[in-house]
Amino acid sequence: MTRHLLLVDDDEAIRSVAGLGLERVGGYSVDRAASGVDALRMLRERIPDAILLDVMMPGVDGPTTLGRIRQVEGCGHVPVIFLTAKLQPAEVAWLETFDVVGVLGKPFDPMTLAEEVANMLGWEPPRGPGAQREPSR
Amino acid sequence: MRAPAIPADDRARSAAVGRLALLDTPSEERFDRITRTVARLLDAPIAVLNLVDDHRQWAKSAVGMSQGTEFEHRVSFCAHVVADAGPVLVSDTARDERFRDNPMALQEPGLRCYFGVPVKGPDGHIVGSLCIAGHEPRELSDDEFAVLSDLVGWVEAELEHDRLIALTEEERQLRERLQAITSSVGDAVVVFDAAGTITDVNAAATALTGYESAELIGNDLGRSLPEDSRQRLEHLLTRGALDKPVSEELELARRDGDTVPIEVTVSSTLDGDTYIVVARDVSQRRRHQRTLEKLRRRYEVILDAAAEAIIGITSDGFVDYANPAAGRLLGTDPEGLLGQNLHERHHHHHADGTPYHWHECPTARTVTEGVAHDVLDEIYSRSDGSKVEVEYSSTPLFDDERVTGAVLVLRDIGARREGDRLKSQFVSTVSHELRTPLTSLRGALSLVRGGVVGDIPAEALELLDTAQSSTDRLIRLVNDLLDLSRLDAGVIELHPTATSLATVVATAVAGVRTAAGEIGVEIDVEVADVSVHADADRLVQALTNLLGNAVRFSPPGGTVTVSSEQDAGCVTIEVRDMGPGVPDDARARIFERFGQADSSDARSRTGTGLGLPIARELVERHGGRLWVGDAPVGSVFNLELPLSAAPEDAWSSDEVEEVGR
Repeated sequence: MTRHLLLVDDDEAIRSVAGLGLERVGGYSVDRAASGVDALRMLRERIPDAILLDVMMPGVDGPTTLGRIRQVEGCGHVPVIFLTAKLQPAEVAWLETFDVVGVLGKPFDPMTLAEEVANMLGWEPPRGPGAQREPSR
Repeated sequence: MRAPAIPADDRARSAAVGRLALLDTPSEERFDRITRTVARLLDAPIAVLNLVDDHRQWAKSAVGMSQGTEFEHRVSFCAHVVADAGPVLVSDTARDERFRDNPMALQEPGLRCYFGVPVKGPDGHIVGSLCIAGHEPRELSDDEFAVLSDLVGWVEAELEHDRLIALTEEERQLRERLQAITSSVGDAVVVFDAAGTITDVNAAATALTGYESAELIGNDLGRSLPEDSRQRLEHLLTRGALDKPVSEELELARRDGDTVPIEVTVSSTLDGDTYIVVARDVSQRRRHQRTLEKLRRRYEVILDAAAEAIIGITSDGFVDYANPAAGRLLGTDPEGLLGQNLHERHHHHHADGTPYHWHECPTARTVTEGVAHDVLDEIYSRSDGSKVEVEYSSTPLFDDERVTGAVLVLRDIGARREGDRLKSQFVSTVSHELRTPLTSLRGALSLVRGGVVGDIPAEALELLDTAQSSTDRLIRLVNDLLDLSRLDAGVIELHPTATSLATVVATAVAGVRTAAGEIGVEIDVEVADVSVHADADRLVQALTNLLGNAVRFSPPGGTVTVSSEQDAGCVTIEVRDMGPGVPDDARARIFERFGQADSSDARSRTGTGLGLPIARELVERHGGRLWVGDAPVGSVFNLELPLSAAPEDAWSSDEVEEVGR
């Protein structure tokens, strides 16, 4: 059965690239939310297998959104991965104190994003339709 | 026999006798005339003018005895005259207790009568006696005594005459000496009488005026002085006796037509009959004064215009100068600062609020040790209590090797700090904003290049590779800029702990392994596993930058060597490559931002130009050093770090023994 992910990021380009990587390379199905509020609304309709959550968002930021996600029925234990552009060790350490399985830094490579996500979640390596590391010449 | 008494003032009296300069001198007619007259008028076989000092009587002139005869004081008749300070009249020595058995009575010259009257010298001391004596007893009538006394007056007149001659000689010598002095002084001396006529001038006066002394003496100074100066001098010369010298600056018209400024000091004799005018040419002094004044005004303008606060303090810390900028900086009038204790008023606390004692202040060391200090960042308090962040220098002032104070130059760095902070914030924000689109750009390229959206023609693949590596470089550049701006703003905090050097090196090497593999470069690591006091992540970052450079500049198939060497208290990591090396003239530049050695080198272009500046900054934050070493081939970078402060890491057991020995 195809794994289902929710990708939360305020930047449309990031949503597009990361989503494409996860879908085409990882073979996952991906829902995209443009804000924390958007994500909470979508969670009420469908609970994903994991959530990728941007930390820096205008309005409701990642950590706050995380707190609210945990309040949503059925979402108390959904694994969450933070996405962040801040990669200062102190900040990473601070983000890891939240109820998340890991912190992924930007910029990321969408070709390997699915693999990294799978590693963090302890899932088997992805094998989606377009899952290939090196293009054939 | 009774010896003559010694008068109380005999020392001074005896000295007065000496001063007559008559003792042991040949006979003189002027005195012999007197003794002869005494002998004849009083019909005495013996008449003597005896001088009596503290041990003898000596005959300056004598009748009936040899001139120059002397008798010791003990037996001297005349010494009795001196002791009594009055006449001694003895009609018959045989019937006088004092002289009955006196050897002069019993033996030579066998005196039976003696009449002596004291002789006073010019200064009032009794210097001897004029006496007559005989071999038979006799009486001296009142008339005869009067004759003797009158002739004593004659002797005294002769002595007075001597003194006058001596005085005249003394005066002549004094006058010569004075003339020698006045002619040798550099100042012009002109003497006027009460009528304002010149009576005397010295050589300097003729040199100053250009007139011969003959032209000056007998005239007034009229033609030598312009009208105004002449009136002022005349005013001084007609005021009567001056109780103290009066000075005045006048103009002097020299004979050659030049006018020179002079300073005159006029004094007068007590009676106001003679005026002495001492004059000196002060044109040089005027010139110096004008130059000084000009300099002073120039410095004043400079000091007033200076943006820096400039404050002079005495050696005990009190303000004796402050420019307007100092007033602005400390929120007060510059005049209000004068006399204040600068440290107590404006420098009493550290930035963290703890008291700042004078003896800790670098300025205190400047005035006690005479050493200049530069202080980069301290807090001064303004008059309203607010704080101002300053950098300042304190420079000692010397007077003959002794420190007399210091000059402080202070600059308000608050505004600059704020500017730096805003700049860093700007760079930081821009970097963040750049990173987001770069992330999607890089991601999109990666997806297309990865064939996710369909097969790519071979030519397009090459272009995509170029686009991708350029994007990568752009991302690295943004990251480095972000790091640097954080370092500049001081927001990167190090969290040093005891860190394994081997682990740090291994982590950094792992980070560049892929890039090295791509161009076939080997990385050899031989690093001692010592503990260093460091922030592991930041140290990895610094080493990664060094290793990245080493790999990038290595020829294909080359080797990069990482080794370590331990020294007392520190460890040096050496990163060696086999690349083109660092040209001598680029050794310093490569640590500057965008200061690559050879920017035309394609390998330089793949770097950001910020790796080494960041690495050095990080290493220095650790209290270490980063520099380019000498290498016959390729380049070698040395990274020195202090060893961990923990004792078990800092010392091997051998060294501990050695210290204990």
